[in-house]
Amino acid sequence: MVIVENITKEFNGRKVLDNLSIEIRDGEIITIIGKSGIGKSVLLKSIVGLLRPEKGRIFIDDIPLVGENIYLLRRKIGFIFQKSALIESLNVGENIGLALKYIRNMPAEEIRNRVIDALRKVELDPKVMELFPSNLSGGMLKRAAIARAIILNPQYILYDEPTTGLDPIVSRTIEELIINLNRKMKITSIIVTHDLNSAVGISDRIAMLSGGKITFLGSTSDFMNSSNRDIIEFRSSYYLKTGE
Amino acid sequence: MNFIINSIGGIFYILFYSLFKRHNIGHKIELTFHEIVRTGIESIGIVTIASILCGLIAVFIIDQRLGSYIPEFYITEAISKSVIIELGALGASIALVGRVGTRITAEIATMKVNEEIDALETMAIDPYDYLVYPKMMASLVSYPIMVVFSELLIIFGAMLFLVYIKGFGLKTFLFGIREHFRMLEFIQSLIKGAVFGLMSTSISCYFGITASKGAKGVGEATTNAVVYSVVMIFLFDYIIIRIFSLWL
Ligand SMILES: Nc1ncnc2c1ncn2[C@@H]1O[C@H](COP(=O)(O)OP(=O)(O)OP(=O)(O)O)[C@@H](O)[C@H]1O
Ligand SMILES: [Mg+2]
Repeated sequence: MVIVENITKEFNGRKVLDNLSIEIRDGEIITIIGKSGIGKSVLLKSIVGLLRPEKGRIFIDDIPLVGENIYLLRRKIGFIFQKSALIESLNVGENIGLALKYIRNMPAEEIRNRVIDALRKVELDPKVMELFPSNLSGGMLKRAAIARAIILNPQYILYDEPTTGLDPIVSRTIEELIINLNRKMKITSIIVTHDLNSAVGISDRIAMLSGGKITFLGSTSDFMNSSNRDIIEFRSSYYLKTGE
Repeated sequence: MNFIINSIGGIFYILFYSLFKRHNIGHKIELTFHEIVRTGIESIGIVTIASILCGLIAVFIIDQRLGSYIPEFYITEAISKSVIIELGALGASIALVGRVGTRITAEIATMKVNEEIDALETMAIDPYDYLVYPKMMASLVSYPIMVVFSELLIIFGAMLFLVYIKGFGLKTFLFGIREHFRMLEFIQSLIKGAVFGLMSTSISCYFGITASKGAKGVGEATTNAVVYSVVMIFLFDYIIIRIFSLWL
């Protein structure tokens, strides 16, 4: 369980997150939606300790995310960056096996087997191992980034805009992958996105981030029927843009 | 002013962190060796050309200004002293800053901008251990090697000029070089290489890691790295020379 308690994060005196609280339940897929630039990435990065909020506390499985704990807790968490963030100078196989090699000191043969296994789980051909990130398509990059996270057997995966910038068909397959990993590997999934369609398609619960706070949190059907002003505004601007 | 103080603090932090902290990462030797090889391959061309030219220039000036007053034997002394005491270490290190230091800054800054460094952190890989530490250790080896290489080539350049253009005897030249060689001066040049290497590498890493987002950030970081490296190299050159002057 992830508990975010009254966190405030500001940049140059401007509050991006303002006394924000949210609880994430074990095993669920929860999507936090919000407009571009509202602070979704900042919230997600705070949950893995890449950013330190000025105020408030975060607990992961009841352990506070502070000091040395951060390094221990990170072992439970995988993070999928908005632009995947694979190491450009390493090939896909080396990227996926990086922590196994340098932190867990595994023998090369075992790393190889685990990398192939991880690639299978994200439905990538093991041949992709030899390619460099710059030679992958957007969808493949996302899958490789997910493989790099699941090889460490995380309990949680945080996805930053997993479908943004992908065409609808590829988006759909990434969504299916997220659901699969959640069901088969029991990975609690926290997604932030402004892609309403994708949020509705895969989430158990949806939260709305607006003005630095969570202004709505509920099941997907509650979300669709909500008369919350932020949600109505978000929905209408979304459908206006996508023309649906 | 604040920027300068912060930067110097950060640079020395990296220096001490690399030298004295325990590093939680496997395959340290492999990573370091990889960096040494890379540094060598990248810089061998520029160091070769710069050193030979440096030898030609130095000996030309010495010969032109002093050649008519002093015997040729002393020209070799002037060459050997200036090369071992100063030119080799300084020339090679400046060339390495231009070629290797800038690459390190640009590479780390680009990783920062692309969030690759954040990605390392989320995998519990400390970017200082994985990226910075091997480069620091490598510089401790590769700078002194390049300094010696440069010294040999500067002397070689001087020899080309004296023997083939001025018609000095090869034997006299080599004898002069050997006669004036002093071990302590040579050790001083190795120490300079190691210190300049550590300084410029920690500077390059520091500006890479603190680069701001965007392509502009990478450019600014690289410029800062070169400026700080050059100033620090001259500063430490002076300090080391003063220390060694107690014995030399
Ligand atoms: N490191 C930082 N330094 C200064 N400001 C920052 C930093 N990171 C984020 N911000 C600011 O915080 C705000 C929220 O940024 P964030 O990246 O979280 O938005 P987002 O909701 O993820 O948007 P997008 O949909 O574009 O990814 C932005 O105004 C941004 O300028
Ligand atoms: Mg974002």
